[in-house]
Amino acid sequence: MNGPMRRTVRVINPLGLHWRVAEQFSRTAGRYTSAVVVRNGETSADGKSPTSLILLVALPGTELVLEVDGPDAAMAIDPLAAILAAPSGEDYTI
Amino acid sequence: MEYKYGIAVSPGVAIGPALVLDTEGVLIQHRTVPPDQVEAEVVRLQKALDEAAEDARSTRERLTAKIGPTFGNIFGAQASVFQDPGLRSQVETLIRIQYYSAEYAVSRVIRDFVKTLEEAARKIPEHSRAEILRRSAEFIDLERQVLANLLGHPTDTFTNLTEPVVILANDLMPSDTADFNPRTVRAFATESGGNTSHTAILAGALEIPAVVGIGRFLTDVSGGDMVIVDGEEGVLIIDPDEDTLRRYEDKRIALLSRVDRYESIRDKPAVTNDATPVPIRLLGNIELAQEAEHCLERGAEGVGLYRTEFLYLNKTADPTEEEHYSAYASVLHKLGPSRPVVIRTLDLGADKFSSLSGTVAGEKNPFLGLRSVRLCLRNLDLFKTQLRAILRAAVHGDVRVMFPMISTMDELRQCKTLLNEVKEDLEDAGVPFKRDVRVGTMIEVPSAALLADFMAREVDFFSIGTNDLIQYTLAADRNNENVANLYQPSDPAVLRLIQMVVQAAQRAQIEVNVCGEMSGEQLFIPLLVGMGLRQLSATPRKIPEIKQVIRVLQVTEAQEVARRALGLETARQVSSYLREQLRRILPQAVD
Repeated sequence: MNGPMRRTVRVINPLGLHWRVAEQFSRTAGRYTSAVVVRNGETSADGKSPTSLILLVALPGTELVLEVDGPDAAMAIDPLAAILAAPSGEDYTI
Repeated sequence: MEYKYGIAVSPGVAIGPALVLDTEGVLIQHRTVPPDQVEAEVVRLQKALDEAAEDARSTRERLTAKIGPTFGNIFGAQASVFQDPGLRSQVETLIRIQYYSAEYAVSRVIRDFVKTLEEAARKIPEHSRAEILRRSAEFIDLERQVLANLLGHPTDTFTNLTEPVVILANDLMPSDTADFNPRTVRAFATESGGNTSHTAILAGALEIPAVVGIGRFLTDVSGGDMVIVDGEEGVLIIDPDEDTLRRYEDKRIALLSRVDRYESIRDKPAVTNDATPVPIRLLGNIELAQEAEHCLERGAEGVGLYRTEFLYLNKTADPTEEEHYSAYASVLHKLGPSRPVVIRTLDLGADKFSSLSGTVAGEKNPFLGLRSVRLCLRNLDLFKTQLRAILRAAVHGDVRVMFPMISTMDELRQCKTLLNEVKEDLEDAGVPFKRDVRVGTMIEVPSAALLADFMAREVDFFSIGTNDLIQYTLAADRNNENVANLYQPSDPAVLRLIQMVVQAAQRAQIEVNVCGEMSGEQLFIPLLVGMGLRQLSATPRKIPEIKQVIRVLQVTEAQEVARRALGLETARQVSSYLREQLRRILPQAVD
């Protein structure tokens, strides 16, 4: 095993990592068997849990570290990184 | 039987079965479950979360069909939270390991999230803060939905109580106390809180006996236990014995008859005992619309202080103009077209609420910080919304507008300019409003008292807010037990400032009123009348007591009391002199 795949992603969405992004991200992460972890500095979140993603308090400009660990990691990392890096998402919260 | 001591904040005695609230104010009757019910509790939790997710999904479909996916998806995100495996496992762990009830476990987990977000919000730049605080408010909304499913009924239980209870809680939110119906909520007692807390003021206003600041006691009591709340002495008695019950039943009845005695003077005029009786206008301080009735019941001639903070507290969004307007209009309808109603604009400390835009969290010294009118002048939209509503409501009666915590002439002028701008806006928009409302300022900062002669040129009336004036003059917080002894209404420095303000008002021929707690105490009535006050505003409950003093008082003797008191050097000397005088003037005075 090579250990987890890692990618640093900068949040550019003006609302930061908001509910809709968290929902979309966790839903996508849930489709893969790999473990997905998102780190904001010292804080880390389970990528399959939208609440834990919200608690990262990732503001616009934050550099997040995405870690995907498992058999389908290579397949998962691109779409997951794309969600975090998306420029707008839709402008709403729950 | 157990005695617990706290701070008496609202008088009266009540006896009844306890209703214990969860620490966060949500009605949770059982915090734990027996070990053999743990699995059933987990199932109950899963069912409640599934239901909430299902509701959110069907709302999404309904809204998507109706107004499009943008709004529908909002509820899709909600559904995903209810189904969040991370959230579920945290809550389930608390049930399995701690034997928490499903309600309590959900509440604990979500409140932790809220706390995390609020702490994070304090550390981030101001422009991002509102967004993060909104997310925390959304968590609270999610919690309520799950609790509603678990409890099987809406969580606004206070309005649905059918039997009288005594409410015991860690703390109560002002919005909780506002729903208390005095017929079913006989009293309350809380672990935290102080005598100036908003909840304490509201308890006094609703005339529900209350004791706060007791410290930890909820673990010593269960729902349904018989309890006594003595709001005179600040005592909570859990599970009283027969003797104690009897003794307190007698005390309760004695207190009620005192109330009746005052009713007998309700319809008598508030005039002095001089050959030519001098009228003293007695007004009520209110916060809630239902208190307008208390004013009338106690013979107040109007409202001298209508506090509006209530509209802002515990809201995730600022109140709308319509919310302001309908609150004001309902008070005016109760009081009729000719009784004065002085509406004070927002007077909140930045510490009191986190949801308001522009609030600075974590000020080192909030009482000397961005609060009250300072906050309003930095949030003009918020301020104008309130001013518009006041001017519109003014068509229904004798409304006067009053600005709190003015400390400079510039602030006062800015407020007046803004009021005029709002009038122009209303005029342009063709909205009905009253142009010539009287404008006043609170005098509650020493700088304003010192400039009272200048301030008098700008306004139609003054209202002296003694609570803040005392705190700022003596630089002492009365809730800080280390310095509370410095906080004395009878301090000579305070009396001098009051005298300056009254004289400035007299010279400028404008009205002056005292609306702090000082004017509600019989002790200070001879002094205040002697200093020249002809208007006093106090909590409605106090009005009969004040009137009782006024009706036996002569202006000349009051002037002599004021003259002598102003010559004394210490608060202690003033208090003991005033006590002596009150005993002479009104031998049957309480205390």
